[in-house]
Amino acid sequence: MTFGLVVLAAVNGLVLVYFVAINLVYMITSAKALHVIWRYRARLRAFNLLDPSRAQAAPPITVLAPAYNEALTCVESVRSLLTLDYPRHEIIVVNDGSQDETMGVLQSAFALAPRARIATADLDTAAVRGVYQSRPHPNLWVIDKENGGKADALNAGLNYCNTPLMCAVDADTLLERDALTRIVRPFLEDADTVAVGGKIRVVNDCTVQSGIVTDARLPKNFLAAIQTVEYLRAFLVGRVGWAAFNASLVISGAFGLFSRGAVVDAGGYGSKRTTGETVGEDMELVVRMKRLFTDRGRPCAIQFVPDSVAWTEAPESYRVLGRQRDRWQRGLIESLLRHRQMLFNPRYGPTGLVAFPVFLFLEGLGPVIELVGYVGFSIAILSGQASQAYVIGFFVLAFALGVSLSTVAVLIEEVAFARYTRTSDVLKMFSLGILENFGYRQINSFWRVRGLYNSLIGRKTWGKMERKGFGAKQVSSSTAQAQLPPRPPAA
Amino acid sequence: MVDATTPLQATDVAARFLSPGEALLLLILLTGAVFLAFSVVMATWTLSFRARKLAVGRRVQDRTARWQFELREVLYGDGSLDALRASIDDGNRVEFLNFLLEYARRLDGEEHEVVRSLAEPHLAKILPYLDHRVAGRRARAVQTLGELGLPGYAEQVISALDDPSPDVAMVAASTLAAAEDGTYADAVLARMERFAHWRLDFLVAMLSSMGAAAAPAFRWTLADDQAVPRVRAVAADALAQLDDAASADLAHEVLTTQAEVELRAATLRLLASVGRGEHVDAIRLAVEDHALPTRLHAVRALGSLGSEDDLDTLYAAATDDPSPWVAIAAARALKEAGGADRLELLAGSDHSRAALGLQVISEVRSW
Repeated sequence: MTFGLVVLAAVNGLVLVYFVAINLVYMITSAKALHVIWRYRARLRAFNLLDPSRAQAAPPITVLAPAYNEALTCVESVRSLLTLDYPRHEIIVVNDGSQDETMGVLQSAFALAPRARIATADLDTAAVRGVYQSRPHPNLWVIDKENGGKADALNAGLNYCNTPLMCAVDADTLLERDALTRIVRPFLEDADTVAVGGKIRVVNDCTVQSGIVTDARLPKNFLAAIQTVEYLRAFLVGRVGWAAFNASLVISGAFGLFSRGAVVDAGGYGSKRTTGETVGEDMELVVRMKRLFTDRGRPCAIQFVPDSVAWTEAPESYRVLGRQRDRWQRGLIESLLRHRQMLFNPRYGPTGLVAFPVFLFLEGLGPVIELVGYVGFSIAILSGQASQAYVIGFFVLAFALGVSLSTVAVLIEEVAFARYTRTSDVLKMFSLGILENFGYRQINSFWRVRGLYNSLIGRKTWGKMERKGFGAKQVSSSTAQAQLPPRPPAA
Repeated sequence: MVDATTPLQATDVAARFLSPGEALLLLILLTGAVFLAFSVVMATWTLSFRARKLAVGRRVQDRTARWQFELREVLYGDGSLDALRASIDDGNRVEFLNFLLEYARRLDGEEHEVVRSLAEPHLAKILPYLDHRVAGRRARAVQTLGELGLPGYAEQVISALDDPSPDVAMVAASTLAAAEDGTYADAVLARMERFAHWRLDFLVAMLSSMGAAAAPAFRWTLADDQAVPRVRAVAADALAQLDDAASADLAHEVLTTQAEVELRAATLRLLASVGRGEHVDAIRLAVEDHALPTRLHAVRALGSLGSEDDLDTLYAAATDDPSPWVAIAAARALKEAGGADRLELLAGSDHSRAALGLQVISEVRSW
């Protein structure tokens, strides 16, 4: 056997091991998620924790919304935040040195007046130029600061946050009115909770009125529609499953609720002024909290609430989506490598022993193995080293497993939440679970490999996001740190 | 009869048709086919579930609309209670209870009693659900009995406090507390340790919804040295919510004899609400405490109960306490106690906390 053939056999063997491992993980998380959501559905009917008579039981929450060049969308987003149905909440918009009229627009729309407000934490951030409070809405504050990036803006907001809980949202995210009431539940039920993730849905082509999604429908754009199924899979299968095993490693930057004290104790979001810059500040913070608190013997429960929803716009072009996936992959790799001591470390329980290796080897390096697999199998067929029938059989199996996973995600969505009222949308989601295997899955792997490469060469840029706005005209937002749509984790 | 050669013969037969490689290929293809079949079955099931749900939903919607109309006629018009009762089929009893449950939450007084009387004949129908294997179903049954069937089904709801599922136990405790009847306070307090991991604010809101009739039971718990400090703290906060003046001396005693931080902080909150002049010395001592929560609540209590003599102490806490939380609370207490002029002086000074003075003077609180 020549050296080349040995390498080929090794590559194909590696691909097979990867294939078996990742599908095993997906099957286990799917089964767990199905079980958890089935029970959760029954439980929800009996629990009405924050009925109006118990409003004083609701812990105050500060919603932190960093904004950079959001002049065109910030007023609508803030109005949406002001309509949140939660007894005690404050909103802090952090204008991160916008180059456009963001500050002026906010000032005139909400009658902002300068106010003194002392900091309650001292996370290092770019200079704060002023603190403002809205006259008609005393629970709305705006912090105007020098540009320092998204993590820096969040840290500035944290410095002025004086409630026990802090909810981080992207400035272009629409929270459902009851989103806070639902996401706060784990904090009521378990005093060890430090962070809770909410579910992100794709808003493209949905009807939005006054910041509220009144008619949920599947996007007409093929890429956005495929992402809808991806998000269902990632949130309803992946995050629910990992949270059930107490091994969550990601909370989307677009919508997550945190114990303010825990985030400050962990050093705040990773920026160049604090614990080091990263493009995946959301994931890095969660991994860091898990590591630090375990090291300090402090309880650290990270949970996920599937019925607390935020809506976000998904990219509709290959170019923008590619940049987004590239960035997510860089964020994933950076976060994991920065806390690599957790890998296979029993001290961190299921997170160190299972979730961390799965995210690093299967999600982080998986796309490389997948692309190499396509090449390796092709060479093996062409060189006569592998039977064409075997390879076809293998791809049929991979396809069948992929379709099953998407089907389970759509099933969970339909049984537990049923947000899409048109049967045609449900049928389309099933079809997209099939179609995504032909082309989309491969190009997604390519973007992720590019992200891995960019991560290894230390590329830190965020790229550019194009937005249509919620029912408005197409808006292009050139960003140094754009609030891109959230990361749905690997399932 | 199977003889010893049978397995060998079977292998021979298999070997005649499939090589090991072919068997592997067959296995791969079969696995793929199984998963594809699984997907088809799941998708079909999902669509039929959806169709069923829509059909049932429409029927339920129609029935609910009819019940809603008839109930409104009973409550606000000249509809007959008996006619509404007679319209409930045996198969719709649980659904009718679900409908009434939603209504009961929005009504009180006489109207609430009408809803309860409508529910009464059907409640026995849900008793089997108390033993359902799914905790959510048990919880729902407990909730229905608790909200519509007390005191008749009190025994079942109190038993649910010991359900193996903490969720069911909490639903039982919540519904017993919501009955606004101190009768159940002892039963709930006896099981409070089960809920010790719940957030304090939530537990306090739950207990205080029992009303003033439950205050003696809360006082007893606060005084109980054997009780878990967290449960005693919850009792103290519930008493504060109820403005229970009779617990002031007890709070003072616990503050001066106990070391547990959460409990001491709770007694300070209680004293801030119902304390008297003779308790102020203990509060002044607490302002010097090393524990942040104790200092925080001590300055708040001092703002409520203290005299002009305490303005210096509050000013010192506002300007010198290392914790910004204590400083903010002290500045607010200073304003409340009539020390706004000192805050103005602070605001005009070059002190590092000058902004705090300005903040509190011009403060418009969000809630």
